[in-house]
Amino acid sequence: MESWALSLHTAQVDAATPATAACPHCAALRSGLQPGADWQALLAHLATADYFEIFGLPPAFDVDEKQLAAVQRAIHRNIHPDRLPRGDEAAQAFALRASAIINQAFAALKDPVLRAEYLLARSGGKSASDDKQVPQGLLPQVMMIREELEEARASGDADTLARIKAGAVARRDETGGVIAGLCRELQSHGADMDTVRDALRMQLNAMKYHSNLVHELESSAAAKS
Amino acid sequence: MSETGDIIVGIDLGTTFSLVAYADERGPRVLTDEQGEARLPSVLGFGEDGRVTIGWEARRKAVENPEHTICSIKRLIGLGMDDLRSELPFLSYHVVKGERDTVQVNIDGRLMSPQEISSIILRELKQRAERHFGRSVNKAVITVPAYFDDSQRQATRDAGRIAGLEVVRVINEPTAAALAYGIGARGTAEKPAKGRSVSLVVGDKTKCAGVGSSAMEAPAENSTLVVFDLGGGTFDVSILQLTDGTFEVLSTSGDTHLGGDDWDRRIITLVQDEVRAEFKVDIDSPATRQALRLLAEQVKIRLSTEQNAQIELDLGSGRTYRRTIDRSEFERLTADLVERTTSACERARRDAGLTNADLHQIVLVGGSTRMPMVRRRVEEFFERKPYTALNPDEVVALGAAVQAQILSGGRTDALLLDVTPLSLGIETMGGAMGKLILRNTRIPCRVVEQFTTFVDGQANVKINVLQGERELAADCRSLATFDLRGIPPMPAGIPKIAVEFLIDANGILNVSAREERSGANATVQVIPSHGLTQEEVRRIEQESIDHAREDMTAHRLIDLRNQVEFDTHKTEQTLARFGHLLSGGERAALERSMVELRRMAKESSDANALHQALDRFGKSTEMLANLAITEALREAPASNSEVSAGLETG
Repeated sequence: MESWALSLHTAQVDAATPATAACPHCAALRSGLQPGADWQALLAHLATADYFEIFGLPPAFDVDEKQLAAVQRAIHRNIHPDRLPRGDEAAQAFALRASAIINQAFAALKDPVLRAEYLLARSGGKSASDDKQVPQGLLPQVMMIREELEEARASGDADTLARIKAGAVARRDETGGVIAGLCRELQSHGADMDTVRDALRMQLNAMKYHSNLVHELESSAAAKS
Repeated sequence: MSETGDIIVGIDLGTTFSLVAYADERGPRVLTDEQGEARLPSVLGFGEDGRVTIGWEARRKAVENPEHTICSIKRLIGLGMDDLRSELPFLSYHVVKGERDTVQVNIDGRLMSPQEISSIILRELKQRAERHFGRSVNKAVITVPAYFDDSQRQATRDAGRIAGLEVVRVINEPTAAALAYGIGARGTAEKPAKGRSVSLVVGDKTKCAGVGSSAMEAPAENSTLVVFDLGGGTFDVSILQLTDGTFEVLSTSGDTHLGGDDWDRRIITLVQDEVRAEFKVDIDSPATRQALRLLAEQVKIRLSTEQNAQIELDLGSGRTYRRTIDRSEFERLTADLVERTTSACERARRDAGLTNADLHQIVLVGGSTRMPMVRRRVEEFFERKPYTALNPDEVVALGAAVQAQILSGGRTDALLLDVTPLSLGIETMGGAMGKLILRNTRIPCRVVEQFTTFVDGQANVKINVLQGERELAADCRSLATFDLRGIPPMPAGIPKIAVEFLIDANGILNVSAREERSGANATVQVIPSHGLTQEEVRRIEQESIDHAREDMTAHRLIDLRNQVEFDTHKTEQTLARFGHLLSGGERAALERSMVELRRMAKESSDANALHQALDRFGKSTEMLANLAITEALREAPASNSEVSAGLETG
């Protein structure tokens, strides 16, 4: 038991962790847990903790992805089921659920689109999937592309398929840029936040169409190769 | 290993071979049998006398005993009849439908689940480890193909439990291989192929310097690697990121019915078709399948090092089927199989969001990666020479042993973070698959979903849990039906039942439910679609313990009978030589008790009674023994110098 408690301290996050690491619970997750930690209190805290706070990062769209990845590894080294005493049921129950929360938080902040959705939810108001509005002109555009795609597939027109794919990728990336801009605006806490949130919701919904299409085109290309 | 701590071994339960390994501060190593062989063929033979042979012996007898020889059971575990349609025509043993959608192997009317059959192999490895350590071994990390679904993982864990092993962790084979690779364990160097000077230089960079290829580079400290694992029956590909001892799986893909067996089957089908065309003879009976399987395997192995192989088949009545197959023909016959591996690689690479330029190393694992066509295609696909310095047979078991060491607290410099290979969801209204957890989500992971009732006072809700990537529930695999019971009676639609789906570090699903208005915990009864229920596992486990006791009694009886034979024979000899030292009555009494003991050994099967009788007999011969020793000593100086020499040193 004793050696276990000591080994928990082997994983340390570098000292550059930003000053937002105010929460002592989250700081403990990152730097190492004390022997005899209050597992239940820690888990209860984690269940409602802010994702940025968990990782000790400023709540912003632009995150240092390397730092994020390093911090989540450090946390896992402290709380993963493999790192806590095997025979200690309370510790293992904590480890299982705490790891699940860390994994979910990491996934949400790692991917730019999911990160934007999290920032939207964090700023209040409906989520993108609760309000399915899309930018004007998107649906006719999507339908046109779909028709073109079906024709190209039927005739086996590889050039057109490649062009459609390039177009889809370009639209996806462009929308990604717009989403990033809106998220930065959201952070500025300017006057008309509702308008920004509406625009962000629409762009996030548009993103689903674009990335689905890219994914579909990539999958079918893979199936053929 | 501390003297008091539990030993946790690592087991690679393979389609063709199984291995057991152990890791301590000196590093991981495979445990070998008396002949120094690490691999145990995953083959069982059931003799007519009820005797079960395991491993090499069963494999040798496979041809003469085809219908009682079980091999490649891993391709059946955790699956149902429908999953096995394409599998069954190639099996030499009989498979029948079991409870729910499970299968059982029928050996002369004795029905056994794939779990029970696998447990016999596991038990053999457990005993090998026990012989090695000289004490009992009850805990293991067992590897499974990364692409195994929940039923297959559960079934593997159940097999361990039936074998008397607590399966402390189920880990993915490619991840285990990556772990072994990452800490620098390569396994035993491969022996050069016979008659050829193919020498694989492993682990010695100076000798490889001249090769100038990336294939022999030592593992990079922080890198992204692909593990391409093509075994006897399953294929996995995983992409991992190694950072300071943390092994993060980014994505995994594969095919649980693609392996060396499938390459063999192409040869089998070719031979069968040609024999049918040329001789009008059908050689597709269970009895011939084993022979053909071994033949095909040999041909395949030969074609990995030679350009061609001879096939000769004696069909009886002076008819002989003869042909030569060259490597290019074999490669044409199996080209689509290789392509199936690359489409899985494509998916894994895409899911990881990476391109070839991001990948630093391609690690080959599994015996089937010895085929040149596989190596060539992997190199083409990833545009990089694969790393072949690992022993493809041993590395998975070594990785499992390292993970066992991590779990026992003996190693803190490495940590595995794996993913779930398949999307998990529930059947929604209208038969759609409602995804709750997407494939390649990091585990442990957790999702809570709300359910309610449709009828007033409804007390239970059934949830069909699915795994797979397709849109319709019918196209996905049903893992189990979860029957939530004990919902307090309320009007329809009022209960709020929060169901928690939790995938643990084994990649195994745990479900719990709670009615939120009343706070009542619903009980969750799991009805596995393709596996054993908790009760069934418990029953089989108990039966096997009972059997073990019976076996032990039988063993003890045999040992005691041998002892009776030995002791009475010795007494007879002593009597013949020194009997004159006894009185007539004493001698007659001893002779009588000898006859009595022999009769008892022959007739009684009460081991305890026999043991006591043997003890009594031992005491009754003491006087004779003492007289004999005294007499021998008196004779010794003159006639037997060896005895006196023995007495001096003893």
